[in-house]
Amino acid sequence: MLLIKNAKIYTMANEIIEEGDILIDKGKIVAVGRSLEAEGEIIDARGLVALPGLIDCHSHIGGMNFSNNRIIDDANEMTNNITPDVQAIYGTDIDSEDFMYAYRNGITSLGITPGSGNVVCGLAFAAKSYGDNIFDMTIKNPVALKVALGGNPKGVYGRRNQEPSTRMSIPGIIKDLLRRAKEYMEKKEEAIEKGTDLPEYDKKLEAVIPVLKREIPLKIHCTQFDMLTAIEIAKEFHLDFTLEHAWGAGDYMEEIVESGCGVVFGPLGSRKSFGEARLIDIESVVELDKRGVVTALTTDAPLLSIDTLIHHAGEAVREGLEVERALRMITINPAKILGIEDRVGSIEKGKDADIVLFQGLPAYNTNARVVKTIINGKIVYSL
Amino acid sequence: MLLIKNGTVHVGNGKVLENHDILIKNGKISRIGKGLDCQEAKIIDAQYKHVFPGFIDPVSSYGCTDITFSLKDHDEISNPVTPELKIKYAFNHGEILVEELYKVGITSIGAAPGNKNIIGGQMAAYRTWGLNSGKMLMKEPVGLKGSVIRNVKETYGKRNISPMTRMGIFNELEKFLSFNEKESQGEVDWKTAEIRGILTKLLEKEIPLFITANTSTEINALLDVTKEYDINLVIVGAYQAHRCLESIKERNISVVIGEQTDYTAKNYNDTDLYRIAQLQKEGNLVSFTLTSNYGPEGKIKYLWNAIEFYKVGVDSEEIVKMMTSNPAKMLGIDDILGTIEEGKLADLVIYSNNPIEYYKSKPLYTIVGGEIVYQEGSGENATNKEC
Repeated sequence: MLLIKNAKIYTMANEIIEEGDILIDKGKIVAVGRSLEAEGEIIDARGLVALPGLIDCHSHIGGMNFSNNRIIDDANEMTNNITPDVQAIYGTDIDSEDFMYAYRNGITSLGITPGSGNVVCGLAFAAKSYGDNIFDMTIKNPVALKVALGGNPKGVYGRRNQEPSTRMSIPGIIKDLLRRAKEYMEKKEEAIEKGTDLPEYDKKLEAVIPVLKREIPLKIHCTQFDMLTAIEIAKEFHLDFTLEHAWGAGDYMEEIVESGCGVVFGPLGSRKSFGEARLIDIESVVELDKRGVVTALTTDAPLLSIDTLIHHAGEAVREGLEVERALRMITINPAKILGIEDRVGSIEKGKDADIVLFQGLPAYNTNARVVKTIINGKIVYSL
Repeated sequence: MLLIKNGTVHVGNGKVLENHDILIKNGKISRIGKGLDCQEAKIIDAQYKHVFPGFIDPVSSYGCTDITFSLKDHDEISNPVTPELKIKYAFNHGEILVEELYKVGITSIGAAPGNKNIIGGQMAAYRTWGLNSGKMLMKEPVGLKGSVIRNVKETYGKRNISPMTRMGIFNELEKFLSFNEKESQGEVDWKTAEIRGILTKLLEKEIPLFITANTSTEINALLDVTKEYDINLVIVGAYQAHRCLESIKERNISVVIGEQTDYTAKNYNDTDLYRIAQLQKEGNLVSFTLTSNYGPEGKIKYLWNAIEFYKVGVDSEEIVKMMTSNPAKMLGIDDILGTIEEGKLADLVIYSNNPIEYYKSKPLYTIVGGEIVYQEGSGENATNKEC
């Protein structure tokens, strides 16, 4: 057993406990409260802040790497613009240093997704950031089907004089796939019901079925007015979905709220440009949160370093968001978006013991530092 | 006239003046003191607020690429050595104004060629706000800019033109530095004359040589190639400068750390910001920039880059120096900018709190040449004419 004593606990479950204790056993949180007693190792966390392990639900860690001697992109299979059945997990290299940067900076879970070079990019998964086998580290696979609107697929295929070379043709490609998958699914169900022959196995369409059944959401890469396209597609097929990147969300507040989707905002720090980078409005997350939209922040790591996740939360605070609400955007909210909130994202009895002890309060004190990172009850990093 | 009252004034040289007033007249800082009074002046109440000299990004290509990224006027990729080129012919005020760098408090930049040429051209110091390029120009040339990083090989080697390798890069740099040693016979053409002129300025330490070098391999080779020359050298990017500190100290070389978060640059290079910052104690100038390997990054990252130094334990006033007086010195504009001192130009930024220490800090006013060019919450950019 491991007992953390006297930390200021931000549970991310509607409670901040001053001088609280967390009891951990067999990798799980077994008690949260005050004056807990137990046999085993004790961490004196007086003066420290305890947070649930941080989460970035949209990264490419392990799939992309830009270090001096290892430039790799295993996250974009840009040979066909529709690849719903490729799995990010197979492109993930566990030797990427970015996993280490993640857990050393308090990020204990990651959504790892294919890139956005294709219209239908592939399947994303969620994993812990520490370990030596990505399959053992995985929390859930798949967690979403990633699709991309706008400049990225257009840039890749348009340059080859292939479809899509404009925004006009992108929704059609996605809708056509969804229609075919729906027909396939219905034929399959009918065949099972009637005991007749199943339709010929289609690996791509199989990958889309969980989306149609709302078992996993569509993770839609979009910015600015592409958000309306995203909402239209999801509505037409009654899908769960999230808007990923969502630059310019402030202009589509009503539509977003009405659609019931989640928003994954970021990364910040691109220079202002035309089109997709016309407006990068971190201030919109304040309003999204107020209006009840499940909002998470993303670094898109390693395109930006994973530790900037805290800077992202800090920028939301700069725009007037309460620190506790900003911290939710890098803990419980991304857990909900990945559909893994039963395991991670808050400090509550029964959840995985993924806990970070900070000196200082992240997103408030700029120099807040990780003192310890605990994943599955194991201390994986100490300052 | 403007009178800033009761501010916490970060001078930019390491000092902080509590509850001080700053009187601004004719675009300059006319007086600094306590209890200043001026009937005609517009008053800015800066109690509990933090006043900084306008920040200076010493190496930036803002203004020299257009908003679509299609016009890249900062990299003349037809020839890897182009010391005769001047960035001022590429600087478009309309393009730099798009990013609104002044809204984060950056009021000047060292406009510079990019990272694709070994010697890209001559730098110029510009303000980030103004009516046109000419009015924004502070001084030129303020340096000669080059690069020895991968981008050079990727640009030329790909076309089977030298340099294809790091050997080729440093060979060309050696040739350039020794260019004036070769006597010319008779009349020289304008280009040769221009190259000789700028190289003379460099060798007489009138202007520094800014070279982008990221890894210890690149930095050490640069240190070796330049060791015979008594020049002011500024290493840009410098992500692994912590591995070359002895020579950097000994030769009093300046360092501008490149943008740290883009493509995870700082982490991959294992940059030791604390040890690099300690160079300031040895008398070296240290600064940082929004410029990454591939160009300028968005202004929101400027404070993040400052915070990274603070996070590893560097004193916040030492970081303020990196943002103000140090880049001013590197660019040779420290007589007019870089600190809050009487007689200097009134380029200032006022924050609600210290943004190096707290995220919850907002820029409230940016003042350029005594004019309020940005006021928080005013919607539009405010303008305040001199009274």
